[in-house]
Amino acid sequence: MLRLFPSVAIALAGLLMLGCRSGRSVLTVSELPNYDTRSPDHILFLNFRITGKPGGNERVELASANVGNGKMKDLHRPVHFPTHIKAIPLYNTSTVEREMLFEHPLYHSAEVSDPSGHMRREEIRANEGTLFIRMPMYPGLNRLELFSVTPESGSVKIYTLSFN
Amino acid sequence: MKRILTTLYAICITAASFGQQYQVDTLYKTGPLDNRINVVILGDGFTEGQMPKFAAEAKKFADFFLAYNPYKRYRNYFNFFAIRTPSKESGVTNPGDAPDAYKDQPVGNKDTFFGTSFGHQIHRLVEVTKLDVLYGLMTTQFPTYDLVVVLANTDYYGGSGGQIAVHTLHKDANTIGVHEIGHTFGHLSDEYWAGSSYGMEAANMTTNSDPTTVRWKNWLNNPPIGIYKHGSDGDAAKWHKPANGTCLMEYLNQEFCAVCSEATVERLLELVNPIEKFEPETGGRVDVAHNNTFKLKLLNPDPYTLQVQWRLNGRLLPFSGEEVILKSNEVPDSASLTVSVFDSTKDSRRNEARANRTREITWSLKSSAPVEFRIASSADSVCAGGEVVLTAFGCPVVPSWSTGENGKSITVKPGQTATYSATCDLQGSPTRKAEAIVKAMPLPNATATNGGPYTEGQAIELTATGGVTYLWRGPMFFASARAHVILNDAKPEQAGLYEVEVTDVNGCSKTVQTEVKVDPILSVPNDPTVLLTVSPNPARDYISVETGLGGKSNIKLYDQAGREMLSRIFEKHTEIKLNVAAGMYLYRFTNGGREVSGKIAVQ
Repeated sequence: MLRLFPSVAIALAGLLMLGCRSGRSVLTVSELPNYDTRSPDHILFLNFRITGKPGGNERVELASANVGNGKMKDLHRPVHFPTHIKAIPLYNTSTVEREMLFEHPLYHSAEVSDPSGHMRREEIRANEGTLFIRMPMYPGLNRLELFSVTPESGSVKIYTLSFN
Repeated sequence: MKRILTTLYAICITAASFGQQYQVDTLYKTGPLDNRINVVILGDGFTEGQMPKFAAEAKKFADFFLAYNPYKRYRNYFNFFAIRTPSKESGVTNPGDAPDAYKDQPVGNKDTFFGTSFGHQIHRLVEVTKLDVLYGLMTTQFPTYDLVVVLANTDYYGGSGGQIAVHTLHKDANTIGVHEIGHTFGHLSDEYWAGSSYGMEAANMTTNSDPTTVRWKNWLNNPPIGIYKHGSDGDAAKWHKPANGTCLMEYLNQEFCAVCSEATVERLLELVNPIEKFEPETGGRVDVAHNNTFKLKLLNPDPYTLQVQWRLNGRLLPFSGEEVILKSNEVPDSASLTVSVFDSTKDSRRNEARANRTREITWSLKSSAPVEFRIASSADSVCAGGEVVLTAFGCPVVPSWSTGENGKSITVKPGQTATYSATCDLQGSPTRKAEAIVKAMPLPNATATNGGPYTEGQAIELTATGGVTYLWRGPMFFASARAHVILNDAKPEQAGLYEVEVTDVNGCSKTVQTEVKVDPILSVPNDPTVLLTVSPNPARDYISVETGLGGKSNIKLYDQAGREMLSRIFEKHTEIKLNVAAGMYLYRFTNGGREVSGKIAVQ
């Protein structure tokens, strides 16, 4: 049976009690579940709950974080819908920042098909959704910034996740 | 003060974690995870008792996928797994409230593992609602997955794409998964017109309609590939596609067109190396007196399209198999043995394919046979001006070079393709000569610019052109791989020299620089009565400057190159006639120790 770690709720409650401003939090990767110091390669899994409206009016919460051991391939689904989430990992080493684009969980397009093989795209809106980020862990990662990108507002930072 | 500084506690948010392990069925395991595309199939709405049905459906989809061209020819390049996640109830949720809901489909909620549901707005849009559960499962059970497909346990038609592909068990729904994987895997565009927002340059979409330069020009003699407009008017008429109703990226009842197959295969061969193993190791020199057998283990497509070439000191050997046995007395000392593997698949006609994806292994050899007089080059081709070291082997005296130098090795920096020769003149023996050609490729025509000068708080814009990849470096550990970079909320310490390494399709790089100026706002008055007003902005022939600060004030105007264009000392208010060219200017206002900077546009 699936269960959320009680510590998730505790940590989130702790953030609120400490007066953490919405849109920021701090993560210690080496203390995440499954982190294996013997593994040379790690994959970071971040799960954000997003509510509100695209364009900078989102409320973002880090719902869960986890680490997998191993390498992932550079195999991302391209995102072309004008409204999307841009994630930029930043390093305190010379590792190159590479932006990643994700569908916006509150406003994205979906392909709809029928048995005859015809397809079309439909725009889907939601009041809340999940943004899932899987990314390789490179040394020196000190923060991950999320931007809400819309044609109306451009790119607006909506969340910063710092790493210890 | 930013509140973040007060919240930097060592807070660790732990994850949703799975105490339970779920059975992972291996459907096809053709090789190691890091050199295969790993497809994971999940099921939703299958109860514990229906796990055999799920296993059969998962296998069915894997077989369907692997029978689909071009995947069929590369089935050994994929691993397929299925994870058994039993649901409490059989079937998936049908809210039944969408206008296109099926009349004969029972309505109702189902308690399933991933909460898969038909759509509320569009019935056929079948999506996973418990994405956190799905990703949590993948995190713990299979973190190195590449592609995920979810099978929804219902026979009614439906599915969706996105980071994961979802489809039902309807007989026509399985192509949804293949189409969606086409997006993820081959970065293919849709070939039906989805709207202006989706117009983009891709392997199978372009605004270029010139048959001599269009991206799929090599396929134009292969009907039905052509250059087809997406539509007859509007934006649709500006975009082109290679097929017209005959590609899976347009209709799900079609196969991939040749252009989409090509993009898919190229991506596959980029991710998976056909050289699985080789022997012996390449670390040191291999003594051919003791070890004269060199082996490859290749990952073979079906049909076999790999071209294997073995070269000794650059000379092609008459072997094309996975193994070569050298005769030690025929191998000169210090020789090098190279094997190259290239997939000559007819699925791809890309001009640069051979250069881009020929994989090579090189062994350095040791032998008791006399050394052959030859020139070894550190590179066959080099970007113009790049260094190449030429080394002569097999001459017991100091050889002389066509450059006029003498020595065993020389370093050359060819600006264009050139032939170099070395002469070995041993007294009492015939003079021997060896040649080496070094190809020089031109450097990219690179530029780097920024939109400054800036004042503190503005957004710095950096733009580079002339290449296919970019690598920026700059103050404050700045690094980026984007052509166009925006750095919000500029700080004075971000001022300085930014340099970008621009690399073209040949891999040739040129580094260019741009200097960013960020002027500090040393003092921003809090009192509204002392605010500085510079108006109008944009200005035409004059500007009015007004301040609430007492005493003498000074305002200076600078152009974008930082040149001072005018200066005026005044008290409280002044009007300045402008006699400058149209453009953006920076003003700096000072009053005592206070300073304010800003930008003003002149039309």
